[in-house]
Amino acid sequence: MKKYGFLAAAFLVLVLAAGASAADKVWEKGTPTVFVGFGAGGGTDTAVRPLIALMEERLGETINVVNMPGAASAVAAEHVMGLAKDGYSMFSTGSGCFGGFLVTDTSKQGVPWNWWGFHHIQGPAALVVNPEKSGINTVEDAVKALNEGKASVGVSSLGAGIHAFVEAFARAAGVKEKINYVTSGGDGKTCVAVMAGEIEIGSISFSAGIDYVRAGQLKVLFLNRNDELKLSDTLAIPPITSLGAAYKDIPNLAETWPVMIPREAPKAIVDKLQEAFVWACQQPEMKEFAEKMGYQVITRYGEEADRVLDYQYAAYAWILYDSGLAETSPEKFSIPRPENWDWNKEKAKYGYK
Amino acid sequence: MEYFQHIFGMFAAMAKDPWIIALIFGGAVMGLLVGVIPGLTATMALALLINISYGMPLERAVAFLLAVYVGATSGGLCSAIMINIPGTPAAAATSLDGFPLAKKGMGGLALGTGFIASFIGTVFSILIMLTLTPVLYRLAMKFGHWEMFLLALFGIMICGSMSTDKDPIKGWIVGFLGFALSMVGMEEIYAFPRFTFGSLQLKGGIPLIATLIGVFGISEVLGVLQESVPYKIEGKIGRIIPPLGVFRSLLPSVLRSGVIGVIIGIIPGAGEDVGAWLAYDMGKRRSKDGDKFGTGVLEGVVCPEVANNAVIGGAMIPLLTLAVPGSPPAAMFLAAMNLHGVRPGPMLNIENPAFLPMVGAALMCASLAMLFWGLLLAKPMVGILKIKREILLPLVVPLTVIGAYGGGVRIFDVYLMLFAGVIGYVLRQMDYPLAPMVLGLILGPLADVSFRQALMQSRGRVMPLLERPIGLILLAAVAWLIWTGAVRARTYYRKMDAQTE
Repeated sequence: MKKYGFLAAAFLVLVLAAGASAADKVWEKGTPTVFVGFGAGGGTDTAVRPLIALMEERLGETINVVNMPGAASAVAAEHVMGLAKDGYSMFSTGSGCFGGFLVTDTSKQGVPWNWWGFHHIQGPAALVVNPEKSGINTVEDAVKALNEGKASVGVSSLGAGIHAFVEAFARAAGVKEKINYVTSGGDGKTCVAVMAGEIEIGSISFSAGIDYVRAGQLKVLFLNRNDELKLSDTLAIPPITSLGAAYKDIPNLAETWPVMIPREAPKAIVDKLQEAFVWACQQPEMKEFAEKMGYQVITRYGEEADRVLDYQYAAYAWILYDSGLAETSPEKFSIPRPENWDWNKEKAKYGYK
Repeated sequence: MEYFQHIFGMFAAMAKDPWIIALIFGGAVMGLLVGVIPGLTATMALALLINISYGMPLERAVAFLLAVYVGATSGGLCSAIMINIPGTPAAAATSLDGFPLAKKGMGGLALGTGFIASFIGTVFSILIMLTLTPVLYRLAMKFGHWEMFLLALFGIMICGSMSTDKDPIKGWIVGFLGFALSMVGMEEIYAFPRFTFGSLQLKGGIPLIATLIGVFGISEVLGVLQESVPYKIEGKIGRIIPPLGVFRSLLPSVLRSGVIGVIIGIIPGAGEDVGAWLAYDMGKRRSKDGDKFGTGVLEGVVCPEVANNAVIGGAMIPLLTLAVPGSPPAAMFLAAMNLHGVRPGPMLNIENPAFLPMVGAALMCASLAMLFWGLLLAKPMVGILKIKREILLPLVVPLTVIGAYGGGVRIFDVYLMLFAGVIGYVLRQMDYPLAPMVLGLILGPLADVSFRQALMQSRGRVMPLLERPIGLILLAAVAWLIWTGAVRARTYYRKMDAQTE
């Protein structure tokens, strides 16, 4: 009898211990999953995995990563929104994708105000050339070649931030000729096409081309940021704002790759996720990763994240519509033009007063 | 000299670290098992394991992930040979001769030969990678949009003409059916939905893995269940390791397939499957036993297996020098290296000169581990042949469901797999080959997008193609394939008419 009593006590201790350990866990009932809206090994996947790995380390729990590509990540957004909002399912994509969800009729539920977003890094866009192959060495050369219809511009895909960046630059520079775009399917491929002389100008996320620039195989005309970037003692890259007054108002549409969790998820999970997110962004590994890739660590969450994403959402939706990539006008969804955008008017839909 | 010291230094460092050895052997067997299960691919395995490798030191992570990559690329041959369901798209060409060999009671020999061929292919590509990377990476830059379009077209045409002995036109019909299916979904340039009928699931396109499993797996199961007396395979295990003379006599095919695999690996976007089909085609055309291809000859296993593994080393060349992956699993490896703070690209040799030798040494060890496990597991695998197929194949069905669901985590993919299975069954009954459909599905988007990108680049003109030497060679190759295929088809139909009369 004594033996059974001992066994029962041991079992009770085990159950209590298991209970206590479950209570300590953020996700008590199982393992959470982040559904990445693009393929494994792509830009979004590469950008978000270091954040998830560090958050796992902080929380001491595994977070599954599942790649669910399709319809510029709308398939993954709809999938997560279709699941229980219990905090076990999250979503990740490029911030530029949200603008396309409504106007391309791909996702009704994936709109920014349905999520809490955690944005760890931001990547500036860059205009790159290969002077040897294209004869373009300065911004003036690039504007002249575009006006004469002698240069094509390579972009990874139409409607993305880097496309918007070229359109904004062309407007400010007074380019009259319609720009001939050539898509490449990836920023790395755009770099290779410019180096090979297949395309005269490339618009890329700077992280993809930073090593070619360091190796002297590509030249950056300017970056979409407000200050100069010193790559070395002899190599400094000018910001677009240094080109003149006309360029001052170019919106900062630098993409981010956030982890998003439905707004209806339990507050306890969101709070712990936020704490782990802030910790992850402060780690030297994150800083090192960002530096190597040419990103900036931004640690953006809460209302600030909503504000910036909402502006990008509006800007991208209108760029898609204006360039003919979306048939439905953003007006139909009461999305303001970027120049009329006002956070005080928009924040109510996020639940802010 | 310093470079070779790096390579030998890396070998020594790996041999001294028991963790690395354990991870290489563990990763290789894990990869093999992934490759064996239809639908699970090297890309999926690497995607799942990247986060696990994040906590490891760089050397261990590189060794582990490359072992999984090599294992999964080779593992596909097992199910292709044993049950006529290629475990991965890259092994589809292997089933053409591998399965007939198994039916003849030479399944063990086919497996052993396949694993040795995979080993040789990997080692060959590693040697090329270690010695010629600075020269060969420029080849990747020569392939613009026109060349990619023609290469994709060439791949579909060659698979169509190779996968059937009788009538290449049937192969092309199925190939372009796959091509047409690949047009479903949001197209990649303007994000315009094509043939989606308002369905969000279809906007994501027709998933390759689910279709592969359906077309090969479900249709095979349906076929076997329909037969009143399913065919019986001789269950003799026989010898696993082929006599040395086999590879000596096949040396020209081995070298040719190795070169094809490396070149296809270097070209971004083509991948293991194209390499395997191209090597099979060249083997059939150049071999003195070419007319026996498809009936169960070892050379028909050696050519695709050398080539699909040689793609691994080839794909590493643009990956390490240009940061442009040559194949989907190589893209996953690139993501993993970025996580570890290693930036493949033009600065790699300056910032991290030991990295290329490290990759070479890890790949070499991984291919040895793959060979070890492959030969060790070949005998138990042959035992599968002893199970009656009307019992075995229904058991495969749950695995196919897992494989289809695992790719996109959507139940829609499972339904689509079943539908593709019925289509595959009907095509089999009508004597149409199935492999071209899968290759059409793989290469369709590449051909479509590259063609339109080429037109964007040349502002709507086709004439610039005539100024591109590689493009012209590929164009001539496509024309030659059409011509020889048409002649073959005419001969076949004349023969059929004569027999009818």
